[in-house]
Amino acid sequence: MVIRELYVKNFGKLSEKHFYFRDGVQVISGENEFGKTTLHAFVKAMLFGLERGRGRAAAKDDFTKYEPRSGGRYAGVMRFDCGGRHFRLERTFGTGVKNSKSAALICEDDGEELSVEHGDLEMLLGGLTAELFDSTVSVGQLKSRPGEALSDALENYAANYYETGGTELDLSGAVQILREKRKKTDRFIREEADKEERKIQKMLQECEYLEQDMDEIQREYEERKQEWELLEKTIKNQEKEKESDFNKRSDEGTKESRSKYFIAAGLGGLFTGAAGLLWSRFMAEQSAVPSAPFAWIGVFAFVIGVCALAAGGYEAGKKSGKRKKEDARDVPYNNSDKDDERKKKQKQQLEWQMEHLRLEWKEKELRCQNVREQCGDVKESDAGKRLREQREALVMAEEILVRTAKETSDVISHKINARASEIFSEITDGKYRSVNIQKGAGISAWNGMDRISVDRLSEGTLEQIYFSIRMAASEMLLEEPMPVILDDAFAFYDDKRLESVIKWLSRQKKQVIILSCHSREAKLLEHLV
Amino acid sequence: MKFIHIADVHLGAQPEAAVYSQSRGRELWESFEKILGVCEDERTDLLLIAGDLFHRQPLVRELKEVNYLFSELTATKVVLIAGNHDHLQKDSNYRSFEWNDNVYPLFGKKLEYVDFPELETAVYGLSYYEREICQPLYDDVAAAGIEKNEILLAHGGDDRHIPFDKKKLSRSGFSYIALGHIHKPQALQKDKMIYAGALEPIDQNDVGQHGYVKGELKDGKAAIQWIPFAGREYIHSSVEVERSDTEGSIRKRVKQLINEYGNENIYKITLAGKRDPDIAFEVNHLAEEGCVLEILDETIPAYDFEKLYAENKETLLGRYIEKFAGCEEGSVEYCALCEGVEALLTGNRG
Repeated sequence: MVIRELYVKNFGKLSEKHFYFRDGVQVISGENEFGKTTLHAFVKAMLFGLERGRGRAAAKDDFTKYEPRSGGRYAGVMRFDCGGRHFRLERTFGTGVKNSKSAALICEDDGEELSVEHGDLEMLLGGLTAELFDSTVSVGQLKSRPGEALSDALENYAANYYETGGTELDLSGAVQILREKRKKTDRFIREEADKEERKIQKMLQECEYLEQDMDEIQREYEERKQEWELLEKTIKNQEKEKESDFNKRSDEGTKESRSKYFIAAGLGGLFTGAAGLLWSRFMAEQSAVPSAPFAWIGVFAFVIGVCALAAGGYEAGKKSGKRKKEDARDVPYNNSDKDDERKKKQKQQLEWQMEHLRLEWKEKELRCQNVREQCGDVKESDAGKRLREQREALVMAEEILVRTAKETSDVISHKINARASEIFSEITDGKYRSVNIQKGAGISAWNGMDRISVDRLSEGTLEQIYFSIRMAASEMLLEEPMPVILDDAFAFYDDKRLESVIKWLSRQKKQVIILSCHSREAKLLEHLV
Repeated sequence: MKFIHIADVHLGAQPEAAVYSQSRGRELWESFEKILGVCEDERTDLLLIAGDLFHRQPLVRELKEVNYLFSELTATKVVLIAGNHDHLQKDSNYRSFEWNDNVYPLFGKKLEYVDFPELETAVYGLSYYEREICQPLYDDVAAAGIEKNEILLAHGGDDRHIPFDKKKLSRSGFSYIALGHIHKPQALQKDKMIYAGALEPIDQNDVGQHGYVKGELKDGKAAIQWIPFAGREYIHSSVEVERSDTEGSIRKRVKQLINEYGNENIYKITLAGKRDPDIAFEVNHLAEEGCVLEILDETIPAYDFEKLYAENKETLLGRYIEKFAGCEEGSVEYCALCEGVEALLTGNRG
């Protein structure tokens, strides 16, 4: 493919400008701020379109960056040759219009209208994508990041270049993004788990409170029980005591009858004695029958009667004394019956209380059991599940990405190393024979005698290696020879090196467009041609 | 004979219900009270409760509450069985509780019945003594033919809760089989074998309408009607995201969705479709509406993988995509593909 003409209608700072090109090497030079980089971006926009970005990225994307400064139609025309035919490509970079629809591709030989939308332009570009355009045919300077040595930059660049298959996709950046995302996901997973944990904790806490309550109830129950047992004991004791009292009382009853018996016998004796004496008197008056024995019997009976009376009187006296004592004790005895009743009531109350406590305890236990069951029912939320899946995906993505990079690197480095070495050798006029780029081992240049590691090479040499890799890659990865655009790529080259590079470039069957702010490239080229 | 058949009331449950979660447990009780009100108003002869009246083991005070509500019924007799959730465990309060005269619990381990001659109806049933019963206890039950109308109250129907053979059960001679356990209302056989479904949705996965069965039995033939009753509904809906959607536009569509279906309902919303690869949704922000339980972002970035692959065959990007050839959308692999491609492309941009 050869670019014939670029007509910039309005694009960034460029407005109504025509640029004409031919096959082979050519230089467009101009001061800084002339618009070289803009022109470079214009070529890319013409080939691949320019879409307005969306979201966060929109503010600093190319669409915004190159919106015409002076207003006017944001558009351009490119004429190019491809496969022996001439084409004219027109594009309008507008909002609202879909990119491909705002492009027109016409074959100028027969006026055939081709469809960008249906991929006719892609066919002509032969596999060149915006990605590949950036990483191969469009060459700027090797840029180091702030604080990074140029040699490290080259090493990183080459490693990444190989691992990503000759693109400027940023492998370590991508891995970094995946890891950060994973961390973020981990945090969400933890938050989600915490939420569940809090739920469970809350329930367990409830269980704990319930258990405390149950313990309290249990204690109260034990207290009541003890009280009850004590009461039970005293009631039993009292009953026993009462029983023994009753026995004593019946004992006294027999004593009482004995004293009565004595008194009766005494009275009987007295009476018999008195009757005997009277009878003996009567008999003595009436007859000769000796009355003395009767008198004696009478006296005897009388004496016995007196004795019996005395005994009965004593017993009765003893008894009445006792009775007095017992009467004194009888008052509390009547109270004890009431006390008994009270105690029984108290006992029953205690029983009720105990039953109530038992039921309360059981109710709490049941609730506790229910809450525990509820704990077991807490399920992982769908959001949590989704997060874990996402995490799994992120881990998988990283693993496969790194593995793929390794495989890619193996294939690509093999392919590119050899060709890059050839180019490197040619543009250094044979000073170096080859360049060796290996992941881990770093980059080294071979001059036929020594293997010189990258940190001992000059910046100019590093740039040359960079250039060699890109040129090798563009040959390897592109089906069609594409125009090479070199945007201030040779700032670090001394004249000698520049000459070799331009010589090498002019030997290639390619269109080469050098954008430069120096005039030395142009002069050199004139000289060479 | 007019009856109302309810099941799976799950009193005592505390379903997650977004902003309504706090009072949701109370709402189950209210709904139960309301259905008793319906019985009273309609002079329903029989209220059939097909198990799981309680979510867990009933407390005495809960039983007292329920019994009081039953005792207020002037025309209705209540027959209930215990399901797997409120099964008659060893010290279950069900065992010792004394019910009001109009309540007839069928708490036997084996099939038993209660006869209502005045209604020409007998109700059969058995109760759960374990959390799970794997034996097909209903497979060889049969109506005894004591009354014209014979009803079976049954609970279960899955592998671990009395699995049963639908055909066998249908031939068992009952006029009506009042089923419980499955929360989604459904008819296994028209006018004969019916899952009333949960009275109120108990779990966020109990989607759709919930209610009860109202029926009439005449000469051994039932005619029933399912009546939606629940105060709230769980709605799982998805919002189809397009490339042009932003967080703002999605929020608006979520709001529209809720306006359409009513904010008394509880939502679980899935974002599906393909989103702009540059946009990531913060689902927490989208769930601002109180009645949204959860928003799941299942969108995938709108990459044209075929095109990307064709354009980058030899490169890491192409090779990476190649590794995932044939994986299905929605799989973890597909998610990994999206993540990796996104990381590569954004990594490059930065």
